[in-house]
Amino acid sequence: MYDLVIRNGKVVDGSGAPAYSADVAVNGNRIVKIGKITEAARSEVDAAGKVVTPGFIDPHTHFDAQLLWDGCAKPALSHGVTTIVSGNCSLSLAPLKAKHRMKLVGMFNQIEEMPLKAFKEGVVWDWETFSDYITRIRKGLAINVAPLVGHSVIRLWVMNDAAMERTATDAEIAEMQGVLRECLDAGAVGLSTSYVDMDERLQPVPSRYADAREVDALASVLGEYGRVLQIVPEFYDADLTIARLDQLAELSLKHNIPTTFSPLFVNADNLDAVARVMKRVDEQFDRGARVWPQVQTRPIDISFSFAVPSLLFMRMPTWYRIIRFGTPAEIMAAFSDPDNRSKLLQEASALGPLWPTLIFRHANTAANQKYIGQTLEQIAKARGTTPVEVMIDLSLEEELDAHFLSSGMGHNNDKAVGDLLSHPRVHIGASDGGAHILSFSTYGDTGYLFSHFVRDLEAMSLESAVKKITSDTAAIWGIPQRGLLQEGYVADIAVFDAATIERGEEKFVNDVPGDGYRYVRDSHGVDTVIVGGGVAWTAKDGYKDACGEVLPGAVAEKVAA
Amino acid sequence: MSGAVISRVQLAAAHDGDAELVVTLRYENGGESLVPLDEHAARVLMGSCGADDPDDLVGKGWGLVRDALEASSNRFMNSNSNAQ
Repeated sequence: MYDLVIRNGKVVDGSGAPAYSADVAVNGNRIVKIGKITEAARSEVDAAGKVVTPGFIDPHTHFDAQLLWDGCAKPALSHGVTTIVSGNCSLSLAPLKAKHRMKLVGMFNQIEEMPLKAFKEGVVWDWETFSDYITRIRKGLAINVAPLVGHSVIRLWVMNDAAMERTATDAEIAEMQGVLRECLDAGAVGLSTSYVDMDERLQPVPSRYADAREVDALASVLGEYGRVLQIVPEFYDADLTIARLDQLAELSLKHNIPTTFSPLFVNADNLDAVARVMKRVDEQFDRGARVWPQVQTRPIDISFSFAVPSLLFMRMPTWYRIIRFGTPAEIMAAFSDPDNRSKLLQEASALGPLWPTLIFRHANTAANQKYIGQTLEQIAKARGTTPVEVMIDLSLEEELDAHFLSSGMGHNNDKAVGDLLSHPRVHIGASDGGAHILSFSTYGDTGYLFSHFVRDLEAMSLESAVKKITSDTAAIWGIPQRGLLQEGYVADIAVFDAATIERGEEKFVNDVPGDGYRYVRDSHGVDTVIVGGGVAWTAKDGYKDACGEVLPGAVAEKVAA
Repeated sequence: MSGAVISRVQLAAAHDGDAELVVTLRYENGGESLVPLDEHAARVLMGSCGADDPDDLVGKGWGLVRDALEASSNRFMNSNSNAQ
């Protein structure tokens, strides 16, 4: 008798091979048989009409804090994600001396938009070393975590305030190497660094003060373990991005390490820049370097309220003048004044197609909750008015704390993004899960990959898409025995309906410590998610077993040794 | 880069969901680079250029862009406040 059998599904095994009908049997945390299985099992999943794939791996998240109060990294797990990489962009929560805690919280707040109150009320600071942090998050872990250690944090640990003032001495670099070794021994999957991020005072984060020899010295330690270097380059400038990826390539070749950089966005007006970056990526791979660009699936949305000035209105001088220079009372008075209002309406007509598509995403009053998630066109129809007037009226009713979203304002060229995601040297990722929680939802990118790029646009096959976010990711990050449905592999498995999988509508929920809110998306079409052989989530019953592990784990350490 | 000037101005979606102003600087040798400006920096730049419309920035020198960015970051130089 098996512990678990998934019956009657179509197996998409993560290798890119065509789907085939088979059952999957699990004993303990391992897949033990794939084929026609007649034996009974203690637990069964009926996957008829669904596909059975390896669990998805999300290589770019900031769940470091959330894992302290939520071992499921909700709602990532419900989207079929069974492994997350935390600690990106030079920021991790360990190693961290007590005196640096608030400094790091400030950086997380500025860069990843993590609320201070969540840290204050959701975090018991009972660790300093990376090993202690790993011990802390292991308790109740339902999702696998492959934690990066942040370069900025290592610098703070060794150099204290000088980490944000100068380059390191030889002795300090040697000490940083030792700290990095301790982190890798404790289970870190690699090192993250950033060349663009700024702290809460808009000063460069510590990693940006490192010179080339420091980065080279740390990369040499990664080479001892074969672990990953992740960086944030100057992604808004193609020339600087290419210069950084050339540096990465040299480190990759010299120390025999995989490297990855993110983000890489593609829009209608920067096709040439992305083409140049990808040409250099190809050239460096041809030399033998591993420099994986990470590309996100979802488009970039712009969100705004009239409580904060937004450049979205910069080409409309009457609007911009009011929202930029007016006090809240003056803005509301201007919105209420009939003469001024007619001027605003006239000026807004220049952007006619934009307004009906805006989505109403947040209100405080009970009366307007029913409109959340609707477009201004839908609300205007219900109220018998126009979309622009609805936007003004809702803002008045909510005393300017009405939030609107303009979707697909960037990274929205379907053909170009689809081609990029399909590129064999592009690493699908950059979700930023766990970050920017008050600005937009960073969940459901995998559902969007399948619904938009596989099903709607047919930009890639189901098998290719699954491979991209399972075995490819496991291979890039050196995570052994995951990412494939294969006998002997760990049973991280997603069961979903390929005809209906998609990301849900964005919604604002009150589940952050300190009575905080965040934007999330539910999953649609995902049926069952299995982590380490345990049923971690089902659409019917929600979150269940907690069998997550810290990866790459002991097997990888032996491989590296 | 003494002669670098703004050659193009676009409104763009920033990584964090805000709108930002992206100016393209064109250098004397023909090279170009993009510089993103936050709302504060964009307003300072518009003011220093006497521009009413973002397109009026085209042709202005790079030094004004630098000064606008510096003005934006200076807001935080003497503040440790990060309350949300």
